[in-house]
Amino acid sequence: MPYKSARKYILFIVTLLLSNVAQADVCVWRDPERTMIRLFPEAKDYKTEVYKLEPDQIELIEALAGMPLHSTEKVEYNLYAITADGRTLGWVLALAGTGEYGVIETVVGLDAEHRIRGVYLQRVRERQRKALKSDDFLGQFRGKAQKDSLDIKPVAGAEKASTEITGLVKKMLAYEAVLNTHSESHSNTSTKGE
Amino acid sequence: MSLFYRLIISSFSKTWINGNASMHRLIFISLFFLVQHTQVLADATQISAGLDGRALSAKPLWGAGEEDLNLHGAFVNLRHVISDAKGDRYIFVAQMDADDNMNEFEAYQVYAQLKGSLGGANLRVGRYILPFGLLANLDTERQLIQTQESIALGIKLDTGILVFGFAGALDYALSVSQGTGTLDDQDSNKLLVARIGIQQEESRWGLSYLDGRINTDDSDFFQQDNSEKQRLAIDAEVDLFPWVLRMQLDAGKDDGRSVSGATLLADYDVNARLSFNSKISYWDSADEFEEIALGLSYQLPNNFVFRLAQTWQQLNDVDETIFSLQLYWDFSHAL
Repeated sequence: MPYKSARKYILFIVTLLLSNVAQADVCVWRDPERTMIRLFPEAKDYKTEVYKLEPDQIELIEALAGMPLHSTEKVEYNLYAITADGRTLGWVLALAGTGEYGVIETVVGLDAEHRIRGVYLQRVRERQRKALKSDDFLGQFRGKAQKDSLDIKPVAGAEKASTEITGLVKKMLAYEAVLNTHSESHSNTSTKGE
Repeated sequence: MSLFYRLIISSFSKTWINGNASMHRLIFISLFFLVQHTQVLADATQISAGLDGRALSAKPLWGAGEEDLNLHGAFVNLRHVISDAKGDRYIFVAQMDADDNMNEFEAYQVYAQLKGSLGGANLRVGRYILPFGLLANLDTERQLIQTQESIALGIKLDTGILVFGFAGALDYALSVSQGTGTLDDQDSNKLLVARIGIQQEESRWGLSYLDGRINTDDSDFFQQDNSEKQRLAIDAEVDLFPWVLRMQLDAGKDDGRSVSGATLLADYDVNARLSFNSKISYWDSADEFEEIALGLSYQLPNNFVFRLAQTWQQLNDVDETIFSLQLYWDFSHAL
């Protein structure tokens, strides 16, 4: 019956309109284990730590990153503790941004001293993606910590994507500094979000 | 947590599957809103949900979809991870789908997984997507242009045991399942599926084998029959900016009769929001099938996606042209 069909479609529209809360991007991190091994070849295991973000934590993350978080970045964040034989080797973090041709999925590995061990672009569809994925560009992040300035030379012809990737790394360093307080003290941190 | 386990129990309950549809709609809608607004905190439990509204100009000759305006599907998915001292060890996934204006309810993927160490083997028990061909890495359930399993395989999800993992660039998966597509076993038949693949920076390739009796009655599949099938498939996904190409070549037998087919899916990214999508496929068995589809996908704000497609299908001497519109939305958050 047409009326019945229309009524159900109205229900669908109403459901969509009412469902504008709790929107976090559906995480599409393909092959996370391969990326973890790439960043930590000696790793044996990993542990997922899910944090729901509190308003004071969001404020602190934005202050440390020096930029506002998108609405979808203010809901929750996952850290992955990388382990081997009972030792924590470091952490892996992932965050997606937007380039000119699609999503840029950026993954960062931090060592036990909370310094960047490596950056990997899980997905990037920019024209200069080979240069963006090269060690010439991504190697500039190695050894940096949250307190360090990220003075990164952009890839020629991919300045926007380079800036986006640098911003994503800054945000991830800020997330880690604020949320990962149970592993080791950071000077600018609040309590864990649970 | 209790919500999670209740959903798993409900998913396995035949009462849920076969019971009163109106009550199920009410429960499903309530669950949808409840899980969105819940503020319960728990470690490593995540929920995702989605709505899939479609308008089709005609009913397809095969595959999912109904003529006219429909809430084609809605789903709620719960994922819970339990860790031991070393790391993540057990993963539980339960997804309920409500299709066709919430008139059809079914469990989608519902499984428990024992996770091995990094790079080690994983064991999955329950109802899962069979690791055959492109299905091993691509689920087009909520897209207008879909992979070819509805005519080429006759099954997509099945209940069984799956061992999978990777070693270096190599992927492997071995599944033994019921061959019925349902949660309950209807006979002692077993379906074997195996796939080995290679993952590279810009591409992945796979070789799959399927052998066993498939006995399904899902209306989404053209072949709702009981037949002995053998299949060999080569699948590939290649990222050739701005194109992403996916292809699958199939050959095998249905009750001793030779069958073969090919599918090519080509996506072209115009920018971060807009992509063009296309498909060309054929399947040669007791019947002959051809399909050509052209469409586009546009990413809207707040996790909405708008898609449209024009699909031409031919089954022997009968053909149909379908114009489709879709508005899709999903979200994910931690509990």
